[in-house]
Amino acid sequence: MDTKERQRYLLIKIITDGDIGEQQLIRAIWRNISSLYGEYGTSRTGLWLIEYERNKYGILRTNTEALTMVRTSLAVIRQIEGNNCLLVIEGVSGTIQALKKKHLTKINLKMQEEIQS
Amino acid sequence: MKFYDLGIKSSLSIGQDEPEVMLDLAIELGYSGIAFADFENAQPKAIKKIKKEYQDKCTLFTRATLIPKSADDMKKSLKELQNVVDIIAVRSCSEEKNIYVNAILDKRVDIISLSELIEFECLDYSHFKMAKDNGTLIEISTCGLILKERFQRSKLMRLMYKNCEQIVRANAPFIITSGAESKWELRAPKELVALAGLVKIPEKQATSALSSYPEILIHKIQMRRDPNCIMAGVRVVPPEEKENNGH
Repeated sequence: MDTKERQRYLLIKIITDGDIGEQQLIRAIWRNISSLYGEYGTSRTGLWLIEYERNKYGILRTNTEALTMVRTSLAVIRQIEGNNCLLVIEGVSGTIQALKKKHLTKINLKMQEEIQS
Repeated sequence: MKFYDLGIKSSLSIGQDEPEVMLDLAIELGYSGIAFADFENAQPKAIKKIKKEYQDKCTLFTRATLIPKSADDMKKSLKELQNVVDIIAVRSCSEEKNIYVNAILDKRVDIISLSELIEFECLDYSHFKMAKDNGTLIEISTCGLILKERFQRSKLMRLMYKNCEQIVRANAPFIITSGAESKWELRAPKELVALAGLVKIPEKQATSALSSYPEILIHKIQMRRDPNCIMAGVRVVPPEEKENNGH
């Protein structure tokens, strides 16, 4: 029997008025999942921050079953260490490569447009 | 699929951010239409220019949320606002069921708004059934789930869960709004669907609450604006339109 967990990768866009470090982001996400679903629920998520570009975007890995839990927990975050912030899920995919190909280029293009304007 | 958030507040009333800031972010999050719930006192003329500017990107609506002290007070306010704003919502902010019953039965009221603990406590299955029969939308605001914490949030979730279960059982039309007062409280449609899952609203119904039910209301608004529309469901077809349709 195959017991391997199926993974999903989430690309989150970070909109903030301050500066959010990698550790601060991880702590905030864990705290919110734990506060909403408890320690048992948190243990089911298998959450991992794969990549983080300061104040721009992050890639999270989680189980397929826990995707909604993670989505909900990200939705209730509105402040990290006193900085206002909004975590927007730009895309979900089964592989990092597909995620980056499909959604990261969109974020980069938007950022270039913002810089130019 | 088009998504709508019909309960956003901007700096035109008690909100913190300018309407343009809220609009830009709402478009980025994937909304096709939003309603600014600022016009209890402010004049809708304030966003006339913005409406024109954004007409290709996002449909804008004006909304007034009444918090009447009594049923008579509500009727008086409805008379004043009836032709001024696109959407009229009613909140009681108290245990006064009479206001809600009158609001559900009044055709001028589009939305019954629920967001505070006390409001979730006072309605039951019969009210939702009545809302379904009268075509009044129930608004479930998720702002409490974002803003409240710990005990307060779990208490709110419990009450919302009980209400939402009855709304779904009664098959009453409902919408989900972010109730955002600043851009940091705005959430993307999929995030709102996920938040609705916290109070056991099935994904399919939650998606309808952000797209198809608001579309029904928008259609109602368009009918109201249409000078050829005599009453609900009855519309005079102009001769030009008749010819175009090949009649």
